Order: sequence, then C-alpha cells, then structure tokens
Amino acid sequence: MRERILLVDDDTLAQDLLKSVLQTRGYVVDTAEDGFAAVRMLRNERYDLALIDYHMPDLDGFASARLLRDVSSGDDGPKLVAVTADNNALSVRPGADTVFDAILPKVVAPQPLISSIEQLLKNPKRDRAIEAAAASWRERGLSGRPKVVAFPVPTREQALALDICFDRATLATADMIVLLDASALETISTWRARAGDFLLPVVDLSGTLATSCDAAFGINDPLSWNAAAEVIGKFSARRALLGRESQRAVDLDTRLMAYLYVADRALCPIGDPASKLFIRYPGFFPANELGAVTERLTGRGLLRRTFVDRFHSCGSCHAHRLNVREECLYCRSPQLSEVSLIHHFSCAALKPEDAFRSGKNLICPKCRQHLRHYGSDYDKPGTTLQCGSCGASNSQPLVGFSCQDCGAHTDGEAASTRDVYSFELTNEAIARLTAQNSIEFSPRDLPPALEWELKSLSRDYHEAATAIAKISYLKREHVFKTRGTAAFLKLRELFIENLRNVIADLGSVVATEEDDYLLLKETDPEELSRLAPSLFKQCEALLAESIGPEFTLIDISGRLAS
Amino acid sequence: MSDFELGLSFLLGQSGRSLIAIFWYTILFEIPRYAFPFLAVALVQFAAAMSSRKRFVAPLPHDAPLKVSVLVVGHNEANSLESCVRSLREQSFNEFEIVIVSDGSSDATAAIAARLVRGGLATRAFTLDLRGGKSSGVNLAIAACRGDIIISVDCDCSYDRFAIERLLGAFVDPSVGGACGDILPRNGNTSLAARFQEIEYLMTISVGKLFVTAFDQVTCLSGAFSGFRREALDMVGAFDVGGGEDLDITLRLRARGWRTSFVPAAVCYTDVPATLGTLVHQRLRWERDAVRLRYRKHKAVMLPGGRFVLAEAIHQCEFLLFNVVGTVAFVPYIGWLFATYGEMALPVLIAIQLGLLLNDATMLALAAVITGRPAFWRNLAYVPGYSLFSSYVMRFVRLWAYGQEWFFFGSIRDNYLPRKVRAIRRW
Repeated sequence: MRERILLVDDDTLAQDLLKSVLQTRGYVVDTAEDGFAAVRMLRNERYDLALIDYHMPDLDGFASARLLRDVSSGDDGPKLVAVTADNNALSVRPGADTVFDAILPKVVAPQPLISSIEQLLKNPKRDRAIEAAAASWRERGLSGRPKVVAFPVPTREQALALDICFDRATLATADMIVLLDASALETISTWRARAGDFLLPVVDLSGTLATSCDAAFGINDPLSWNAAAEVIGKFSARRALLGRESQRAVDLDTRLMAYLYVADRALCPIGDPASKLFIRYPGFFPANELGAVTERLTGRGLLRRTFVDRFHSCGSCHAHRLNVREECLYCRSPQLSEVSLIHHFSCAALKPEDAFRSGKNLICPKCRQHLRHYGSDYDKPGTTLQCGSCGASNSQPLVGFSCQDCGAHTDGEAASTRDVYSFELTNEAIARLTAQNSIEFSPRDLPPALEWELKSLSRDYHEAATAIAKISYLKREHVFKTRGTAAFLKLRELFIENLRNVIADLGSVVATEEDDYLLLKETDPEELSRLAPSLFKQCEALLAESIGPEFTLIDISGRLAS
Repeated sequence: MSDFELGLSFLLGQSGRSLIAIFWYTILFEIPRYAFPFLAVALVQFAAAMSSRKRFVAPLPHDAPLKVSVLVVGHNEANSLESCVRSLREQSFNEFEIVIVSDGSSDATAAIAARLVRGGLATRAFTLDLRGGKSSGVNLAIAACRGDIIISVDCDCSYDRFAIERLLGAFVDPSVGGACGDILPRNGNTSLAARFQEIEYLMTISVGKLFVTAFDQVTCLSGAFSGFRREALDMVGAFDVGGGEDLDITLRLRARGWRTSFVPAAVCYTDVPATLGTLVHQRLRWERDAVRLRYRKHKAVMLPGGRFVLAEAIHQCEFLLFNVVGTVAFVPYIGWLFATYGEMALPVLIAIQLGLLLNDATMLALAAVITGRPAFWRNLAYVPGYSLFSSYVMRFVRLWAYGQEWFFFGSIRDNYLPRKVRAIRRW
C-alpha cells in the first residue's frame, strides 16, 4: 500500500523539492498552500501524514495543525509533522508537543527525513490487518492482495477499508475494477466502449449492483472473497486465450464479444426497475448502442440470440416503464367505475342504477313508478363503465399506457413493442476471438444477400474455400442511352439467368439491386479469374445485345483485390 | 252468351242509382281513400284556423352546428353490424357519432361492436347481457349519446350516400321534432311477394307519405330510418315499450305538439319479407300494434276530453274508417252481394277489380312521375296481381289481425319483444 502524504507549505519551491523526494520513495503526495486548503483536502481524501511548514502567513503551522486535528477524527487522522527552521520557538510553544506528532528541522537531508517519516507511519495494527488480508487472498489462489482501481473516487472512509483488502493501482496493472456505487456506471460504460480496459472483471462493493457486475465483494462475507478470487483467476486465464487483436480491439463489436468470452457468460438481460427499459445487460456496455451491435453481430452469425421477453414501449421516449390501465374512450382518463344498468320493463327506461336510486327505493326516472319486484318490474341487463372525469359511459374500456418517464400517453393498440433477447457467442465467434493471427471482425461491407449466400455455402464448405467476384457491366451506360433502363435490366436478368444455369451447383449468383456477384465453391481466386472470362462470354452470347460483363475479385475479408 | 258478356250487359243495364246500390263498398271505402288527401287539406286548414294550437319550437339559432348521433341497436346482428356501420361511414355527411347497443346478443355482436369502437369506426358500444327489446336499448343509447339530433337505424338496412345529410335538412325547421326517410325494398326481384311489397312501399311510403307530409299528417316515423330532435325525445321520455314503438313515439311527439316530417330524398334500403308466410307474420304484428296503439293507448286524442287534439283525431278517424271499418265491412259486402245478386255478384266483383286495376295502374304511373324512379314499366305487369293480392289476401290478413288484437290481445304473444316486457306492458 502506498501511503498518502499531504504537504502544507506556502513556498512552492520547497514544496516541489520535497514532493519529488517523497514520490521517488513511492508515496502519493498532494500539496496544499495553506492550512485552509489542507483542511479542504483532508475532508475529501484520507492522508496518512501531513508535513506542515511552521512559518506561513495568515495561518501559521501551529494553527493549521490544530485545525487539521479538529477536522480529522480520532485515530484515522494523519500524523502531523511540523517542519521548521526555528525548532526552539516551536518547541516552547505550549501544546505544540500534543498537536504535532513530530517536529523536524526545515533543512533536512532526504535520508533522515525519509526515515523519520517511515518511523512515523508505522501502524502495527493496520499493518497486521493488511497482512491478514493478503494471506486470505493467497489462500484463495492469488499471489497477494489484488490490485484494484476503484470507481468512483473513494471517500476517506472507503479508502481506509479498500486499502486494507486491496492494493490500489492504475488501470494498466489492475487485476480488477471495484465499483463503490452506481454513480460511476456511466464512466465505466464510456470507457468500456471507447478506451480503457474492457477485459477486467468489475466487482461490486456497493451491495446493489451485483447482477451487472462479474462478482460482488463484501468484507464480512468469506464466500464473496472466494467469488472475487475466482473471477480474477478466470478473467486472467481466459484473457490469455484471446488473440492479440481481440485483446487490443477498439471497436465496440469486438470489445463486446471479447468481454463475453473472457467473462465466460451469455449476455442475458437483467431486470432492473431503475432502468427506463426495465432491463439492463451485464458488462457495462453503453445501452443505447448495444441494440445495434447485437443485431449486427447476430446478423453476421457471431452471436446467437434467444427470445426472453417482449415489452411495450413509449411512443415518445421509448421507455418501457409504462403504467397499463383501462381508460375512458373519450378523455383517456383511467377513472372508470363499473355501474349496473336497470331496465324498467313497463316504460322501457334503461339507465344506470344511480338514476333510479332514491334512498332505499328504486324509482323510475322516466315514469316515477316504484320498482319493487326484480324480474317482473325490472332487471339488471348488464353493466357499463362510467368515466368519473368526463361522464361518458361505454361498455368497452380502452387499454392505454402512460409513460412513467416522460408522461406521454400511448393507446394500447398503437403502442410499439420491443423484443428482448439474450445473446451468446457462436462457435465461429469463439474461433475468431481466439485465433492468434489476423482476424477480421469489422463489418466486411458485403451486401447482406451476399453474406447470407456465403454463409449458406459455407455450411458445407469452409467460407475461405469460396471465391467471389463482383460483376460489373461496362456497357451499362451505353445500353441505358440507346435502349433504356428497362431493356438493360432485362438483359442483365437474362445474363444472370444464363450464368446460373451454366454454373449449376458449382456455386451461385447473387443479384442485388446494385451489383451482381458470382460465387464458386471450392475454388481459389486464381482459378475464378481464369474461368470467369469464358463463362461470361458463353452467357453473353445468347443476349440480344452485349452488356460487357467484367469481374473484380473480392477477398473474403471484404477488400477488393484487384 | 258467356258469363262475361252477361255480366257486362247486366252492369250496362243498371241505372245510376242502382249502380251506387251495387258498388257502395267501393264508393264508401275505396274512392274516398284516394280523395281523402284533398279532404284532409281542407280539414287541416280548417283546424289550423279554428284552434290556436300551441306548437313546440326548438330554440334557434343554434350557434354551434347540430351534433348528430346515429344509434344502432341490435340483437344477434353479428352478420350485419359491421357492414351497417361501414356503410354509415360512407355517408356524404360524416360528422356523427355512432352508438351501438348489443341487446342481449348471444352471438359475436358485442365483440364486433367493441372492435369497431377500438378501430374508430363507432364511437361507443354498450353490451347488455339480458335482452330488453329495441326500445330500452335505444333509450340507453339516447341517454349516453351526445347528439342534438338522434338518428335511429336498423342493422339490416343500408343507406343512400346522401341519406343522413338530407334527413338532417328537415331539422332546419325548428318545429320539426322527428323526420323519417323513404324506405325502398332492395330485394324486389327475389319473389312475387317482395315485388308486390315494392309496389306497395312505392304507393304508401314514397308517394303516400310525401303527400301527407304536406298536410302535416306523417303518423309513423319508420323505425328503420328516423331522426329525432333531442328536446322532443326528452319531452316525451324517449321510447316506450314496443312493438310498434316507431308509431308510438310518433303519436306521442305529435300529441305534444311537435311536427313530424317525411324526407323523400333520404333513402333507406331494406329487405322486405320474401315469402308469403313471413310477410303475413310481419303484417299481423304491424296491424295488431297499430290498433292497440291507436285505439287503446292513444285513444284519448280522438275522444272528447282534455287530451283531444283535432289534427290527431283526424288521422285516427281516417285510419279507423278506411283501414278498420273498411276491412271489416268487406266481408258483409261480399255476402250481401251474393245474397242479393246471386251469380251476378261475380261479374260485379270482376268489374270492381278492373276498376281498381285501372286505378292502381294510374297511381303507379303518377308515382313514377312523382318519385322520378323508373317504377312504371318495371312494375306494370305486376299491378293486376298486386290489386288482387291487396283485396283478397292483405285485407283478410288485416281483418284477422284486428280481430285477434281487439278480442284476444294477440300482440301480447308477439315474440318480437322479450316475454318479461310484454307481460307487463301498459295498454
């Protein structure tokens, strides 16, 4: 553990000098230019020791120390060390020996200063706790206390506890990320997607975010120590299996897949009342981009999806947090009440029961006759729903959704739905992730129809064994001008038809709106270039007019070869 | 000498006075019937001059355009409900709400109504688990709807594109409390009975009502297609128990001083009974309801007393004389004819029928001219049959209905209404 030292000195030169000396010894050093600044910093961070210059304007070292003593609580406060050129003046000041833990002469050689500090920082109780924690981790298979990065920046109290169980480090060297509360979720998700490490486990220390994290840790729960150790071990082992490209990936698609591989889990939605979608996916990837990424990867056969649930979503803000209610058809108020209807046989009055009620009596509002005999005088043929808001009545309520996020209203029948899936890596994705050589994950820019065809061909043959050529038509413009668009399209259609007939089951032809592609199974590109001209010639010979078919080879990663 | 020649010479040999003696029935019941409209004009004008009858007038002007509601009340109408609503939505005037009531349907009516409401084609729907009859269903819809003008339609009818727009035109006159459209059979080609009804509807509704509306004597706003002013409905407490609820509400609106009107350009198409059996069944029901409502429930308007209204007494008496007495007197007339003239009675009857045939053909031609529809050549060949059918079939159906209702309260057994309602209906 690296101790934190606060330097309080109005002389910046002396401050810098001292800071660099201490930093070379591995201390974390912050500086404050006066006592007030020191108090402010102490409020936000825990320090093990404060070096205070005795001679400062406004508030001298002694007063500053008293102030610091006041704001720091009990044993947790930093050791206070006075630095002064006038040792005697301070020593004789009453109370100085109780406020300061030590008084050191101002001009000091580095070595005595360092030893004095080391001496002061020794905390046998705390050191024992730290050693015990390291032993616990070693029992669970780690080399010592795991190196962690905490999000968000821990409070002084949190830092105290953290520094016992973990060794705080930078992202580059960390074994895991610990999450202290939900306020850091956004930070984590931005750098999961864009920069920073995406292959470290995130361990929940807040006690509320466990489902999103890879594990949860509670200092009093020995099982959680096991879980944390296990997840660190697993992540580290599986990271080693990833291809180099995957480890260094910068695109969200690859990052997501690499994370799923390393975490060895499926991307399953987790119920989350706090999310406006009611669900959240683990792994802290940005929720607004995840939909597009998963859809793209599923389309490319790298993720396999399984239906989980269907949500209605707000037409205005797309939130799923909707209040479902029966509403009045006219004013959309949910204040509906069911009222009985009374049918008075002898005058055909048929109205809500309220219209007949007069104390205990039922009196017909139309003919003022008393209704006495159910079944002979009157009956209750049904009920109707009455709106307390607009007074309208109707037998059929409407189902409506009111959005709890933006307040927008959507009629039940007009509400759009969104399906939620869980995703897992396909074998193909795993093969690519773990390939040690060049792998290609970024979209190949191939038209979907071609991707599809390629995929269906490679069910029988390895994808790489298929050669692809893009067909273009040199005389396209010419035919457009001389015979019109429709004629060209007809000729092109005939040409493709011929080509399909000629190659039969040796491959296939994919015609898209833009371009056409020729795919030949178990063929290498050279062979395709040799075969294509004669194939084209043969197929074009049957057309009424030449459309000048030419081909360009496409390599499997989507780049045009030549 | 054949019977015909014998009969002809017998008739030609009669003096004017003895001709009257032979043809008294025709002179008393058939000829005045056609002459009555003219009589009515005179009487109505007289009545208007004699009494300062208070008329209800709806508040004018309406600042906001009138809101319109169309009510579709049906029992087990799953097959026709959707097409009915869709055809209503095709109207030239479309700014109206549609209120559907499924009256104790056991089929998919309620589900279809709900779907139409969800789809925005209809505005609201009510589902009743127990059938209560059309009146109560319409009353429920009237209470729930928001229209100033409330139009009641039948599920199995379809409507001309401009029907609702034209019908609403009647309500420009603030004294009009209710108005009905013209009803045209759309299945006149399916059977002889249907074709006879096509001629009958043309004469009695398309032309008959057109004629009487001029004298403010529209006494039945057809249940298939009528509009009402909300103030008028509120005043009379909306519909009473059926059957014949359309005749009933018209009589009650008129009794309270509202004008009722017929709009010939608002056309509604309906399927009339295609077989003799169903036609007879329908007419027995209509005629029973007519005598029950006119001479039991609403007799007060024609009897001396506080509720007497001259204009109402006129049509009540007209119906009594020409429909009821005329029908009843026909049997003794035939008997008398045969008793007095023996075998000469037959040529007399044939002569009467020929006269009626001529009369009906003339009426048909006039009707074609008045309505502007190509009805004359289409129906001419059916006129002889129609004349015979009305004289010797429908007249006896009426007779049967009147006897059954007056002496045996036949309408109480009419399953057009649920039993629970029929059982305690007030008379």
